[in-house]
Amino acid sequence: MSEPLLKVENLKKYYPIKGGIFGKVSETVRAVDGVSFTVNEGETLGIVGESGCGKSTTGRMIMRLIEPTEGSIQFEGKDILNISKSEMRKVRKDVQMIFQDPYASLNPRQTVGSIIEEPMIVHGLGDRKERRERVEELLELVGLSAYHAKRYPHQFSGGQRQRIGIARALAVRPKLIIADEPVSALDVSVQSQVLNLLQDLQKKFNLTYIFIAHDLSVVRHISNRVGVMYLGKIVEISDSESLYDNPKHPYTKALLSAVPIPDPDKTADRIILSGDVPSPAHPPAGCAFHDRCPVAMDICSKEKPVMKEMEDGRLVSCHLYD
Amino acid sequence: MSETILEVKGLKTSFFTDDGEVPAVDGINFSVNEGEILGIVGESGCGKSVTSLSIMGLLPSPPGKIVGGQILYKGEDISHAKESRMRKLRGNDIAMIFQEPMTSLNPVFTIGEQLTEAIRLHNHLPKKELESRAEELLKMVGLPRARELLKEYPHELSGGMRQRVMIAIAMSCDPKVLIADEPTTALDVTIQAQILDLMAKLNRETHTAIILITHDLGVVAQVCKRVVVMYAGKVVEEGDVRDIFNHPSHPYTEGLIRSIPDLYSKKEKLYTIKGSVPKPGSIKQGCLFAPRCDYVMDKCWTNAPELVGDSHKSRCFLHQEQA
Repeated sequence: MSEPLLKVENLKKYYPIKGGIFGKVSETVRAVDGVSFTVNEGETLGIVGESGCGKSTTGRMIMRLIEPTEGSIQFEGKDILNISKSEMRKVRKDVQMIFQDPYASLNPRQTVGSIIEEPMIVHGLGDRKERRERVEELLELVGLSAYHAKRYPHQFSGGQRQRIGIARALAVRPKLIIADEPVSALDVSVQSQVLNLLQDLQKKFNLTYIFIAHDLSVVRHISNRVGVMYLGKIVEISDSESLYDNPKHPYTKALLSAVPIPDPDKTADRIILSGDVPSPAHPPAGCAFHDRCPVAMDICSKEKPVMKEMEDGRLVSCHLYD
Repeated sequence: MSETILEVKGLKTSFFTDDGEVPAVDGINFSVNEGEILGIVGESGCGKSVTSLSIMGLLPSPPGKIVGGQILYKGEDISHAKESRMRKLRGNDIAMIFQEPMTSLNPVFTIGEQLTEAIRLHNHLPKKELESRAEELLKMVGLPRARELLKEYPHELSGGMRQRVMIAIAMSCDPKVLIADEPTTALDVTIQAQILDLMAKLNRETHTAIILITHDLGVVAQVCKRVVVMYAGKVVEEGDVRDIFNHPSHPYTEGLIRSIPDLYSKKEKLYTIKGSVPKPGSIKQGCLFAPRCDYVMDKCWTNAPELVGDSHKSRCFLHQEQA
């Protein structure tokens, strides 16, 4: 087996809450609390979870848009948390990001052409003429037209803007693309167009994706493997087929059963979780999910479960499988 | 057969902008029966929210204006009712909950004050009774610690709790019709499941008719009995939820259903509806869906189909041989 493209180990991000006149740290918010996973070349890893579970923070830490508190991130075997700025810049050429909000992630004062060209200028790729040609090529690639380069973002619909964001990410020929909720702001009919585009591009350029989303159906469609996050931790990670067909962790089960199915004849047995996600500043002792878990045992409130490998290779963090 | 409580007949709502009249809702018809849950689905810009604001008399005017048609509540046309009449109806007979539970509560008033406001306006109750009614309402929507919550402010509650409070406010005067405009869109799936469950329970217990406006076909399939599908300001299909999902007769409905990724099985490639939603008023003749339709015929470009059928209506020439 080949080396994974990306290896994340025990990644943590704590935010201190300062209070009082001396600005003493009174509490810490554990946004991401020990996340480990690997991503192989050419695959799509989906990360799902509800708001505040730390999925976006994880994505941004890989880009080093947020500095991790602890842990290691290895990209192509290189530890990217301990390299110089100029070396990091080289890594950023290989790792690009697509953002959620196609309205906020494009500069309204720049033409689409210069938005897509900018990463090439930053990384010193090609001369002016080559870059222009590349912009036109990219626009065609994502299903827009070359003449769109002269227009401004406000002249485009949400779906088209997301295509522009994808073209910008592809401009420097990255290996890994982190897509943070790339379709959640889009309507269903446009969402399917963008998902198909992402899949076509993946095949064409052998891209690797980390696909962060809250929509479980979308994640299943696009991912080879899926990690489920809850309160800053991954509770279950496995290939998407077995995760969706036979979820192991009680949270995964509840999450899957809560999705409304677009078929009136399928009234799935819903597991309705009581209460809300606890605050990451005060996660419950033991297993973070125990106070909402329908099958919680005594041990769950006392001991934190650890990630265990099941016989089929998937990883689950739950006392049920001790 | 239960009675029709709200009927929308040929409603046309337009916005008058610098670029001229923009028809946001263009002659729609539907009715709501007592105690039923009707779903209105469609993508952004199809006019579903404008429809609900028109019913509530809450259109921002100018630029919005109802330019035609009727809205009949128990037979009374309220489309151009006086503000004083609407005030009596709003909250008391027809109530509404909005998408954004974060912004639709006033941050400087306590939950208790906001919860009792409608009751104070519509029925004059002594203070003691007001309080116990408020507490009862919070319990009805499944909120714990009802007594303490009354004294708390919106920022102290989570999104799901705020949406429960919004529902409690809407239900405070036992309305006959509740309009829920994307009530769960801003919520996480597990919380969404709780809220949908609650709305179905309230519908069963209080017999309040609910108009559920959403873009999520999954929500519609799980909760509604009847569905109205809107596209570009018009109703394109209407019928029983099972008929619509099992035998969609309008190509748009079919396309929408097929373009959702499946939770239970992985498809190689998703179906897509080509192109995007037209700007209101940009298509002058023919069927509004023609440019995106897989089954488009010659006459679709010149003639606009009518909405026809008995219990399962559809606006498409494919199902109208006589046309």
